[in-house]
Amino acid sequence: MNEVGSIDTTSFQIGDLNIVFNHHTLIMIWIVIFVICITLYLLTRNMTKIPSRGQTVVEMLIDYFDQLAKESLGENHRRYLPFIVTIFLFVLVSNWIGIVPLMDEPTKDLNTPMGIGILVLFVTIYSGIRYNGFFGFVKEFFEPVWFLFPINVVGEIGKFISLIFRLFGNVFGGTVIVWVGFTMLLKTWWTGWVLLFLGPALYGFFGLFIGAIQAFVFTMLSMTYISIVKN
Amino acid sequence: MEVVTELVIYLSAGIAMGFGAIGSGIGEGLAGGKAVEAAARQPGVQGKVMKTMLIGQAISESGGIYALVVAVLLLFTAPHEALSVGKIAALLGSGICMGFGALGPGLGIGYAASKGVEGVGRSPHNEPVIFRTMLIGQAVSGSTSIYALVVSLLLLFVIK
Amino acid sequence: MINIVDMLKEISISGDQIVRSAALLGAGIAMGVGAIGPGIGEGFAAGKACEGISKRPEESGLLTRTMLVGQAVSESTGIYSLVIALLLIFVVA
Repeated sequence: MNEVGSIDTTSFQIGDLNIVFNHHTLIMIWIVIFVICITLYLLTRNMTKIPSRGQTVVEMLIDYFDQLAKESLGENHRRYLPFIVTIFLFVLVSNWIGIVPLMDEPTKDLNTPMGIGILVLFVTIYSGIRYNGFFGFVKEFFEPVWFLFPINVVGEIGKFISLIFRLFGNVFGGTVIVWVGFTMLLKTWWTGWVLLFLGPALYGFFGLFIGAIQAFVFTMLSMTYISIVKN
Repeated sequence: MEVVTELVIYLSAGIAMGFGAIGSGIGEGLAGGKAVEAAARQPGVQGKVMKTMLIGQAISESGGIYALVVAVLLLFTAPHEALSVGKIAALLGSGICMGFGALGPGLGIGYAASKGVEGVGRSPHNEPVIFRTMLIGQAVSGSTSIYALVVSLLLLFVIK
Repeated sequence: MINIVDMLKEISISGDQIVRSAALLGAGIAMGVGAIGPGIGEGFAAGKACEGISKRPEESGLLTRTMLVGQAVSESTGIYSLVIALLLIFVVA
């Protein structure tokens, strides 16, 4: 029963290099991207002055994040808005797609959160250098006293490690709990009836509730990390 | 040798769930207590206070849920047969890791939830911003329990 | 009734195995006990930030940023525990 949390991979050899593709994760990522693009296209196809129901949803989303970005990033917040809303939508749909049968969350694989986290790290370093200059950015690490440099560096890297592991751990932990619940309940015939009621509750809590909260927290933390180096 | 394995598995599952429940229990109790206090002071804001309390407690619960997962995995998926000494030590280690690892974050998240509930009770019109800060702070303080879960699952499944 | 002491006497364990099992048990203890402090401390910071915002909501951006910086510093001991646990699992054992 050690297959819990395992991820399908394809590997092939080129010379001495052993290249491994997590093909299941890659397929799921493409499905998520298509779902987001098609939904947004359908919702905003006929934009009118008096918004339809779908257009209202998208406008509310954009307005909400515009407000949040303005509060935390200050001036030039529009520059980061597309990046932030993209992260939010991608992580949200990734966390939610696991409740569809036969589909898995791409965020269950550590590589996906790590990819997004490294992207946020690069944007953070870029905006730190852009707004404070290279020496201003480096000088931050020697504040308040120069010998605190190692602790500052560990703290800075630790922020992103915890950002990555938080998303991964919550989604992965959720799938393990759902898996444990289903295997335990399917062991005897009568508990199948309990599963009918408990299954949706498990998926609802760990898939929808925790997924939405983690997507929001990931986005807010990315935004705040950018704003810390920017201001 | 099978007896030793079973002994360690049951001991480890007990440690994981027993210690893991302490933090979440105290933390959720703190949040609940502050909610009662806030509702007693201003009965009109009970709806907002309840919402903040319930979501704060749900996040505070996560450490306890991870401990439950590790305990259940130990009981149902760990092999009940003669194992190497290293694997037995790893099984014991995973229980200790998750049990103690859930203690601190559960307490801390519960404290944050209680302060969030208190703040919402005091100034209900600032509820969105207090709620948002509470959520972010809780998520950050929960990260050490996630590390504990990762190490614990490594010890359970990866070590041979 | 099984006499465990007699059973343990029969098991012969080499030195390598003792070191390996001690490293694995140590990894669990390191991460488990090491997670207590940062968990409580970061939660304390989050709670105080909520309290501060309920008093002065107009400073919410500043308070959130300060909270996150403080939490990142107290998080670093948790990161040390994680690094030590992973070292014990993958390098020593």
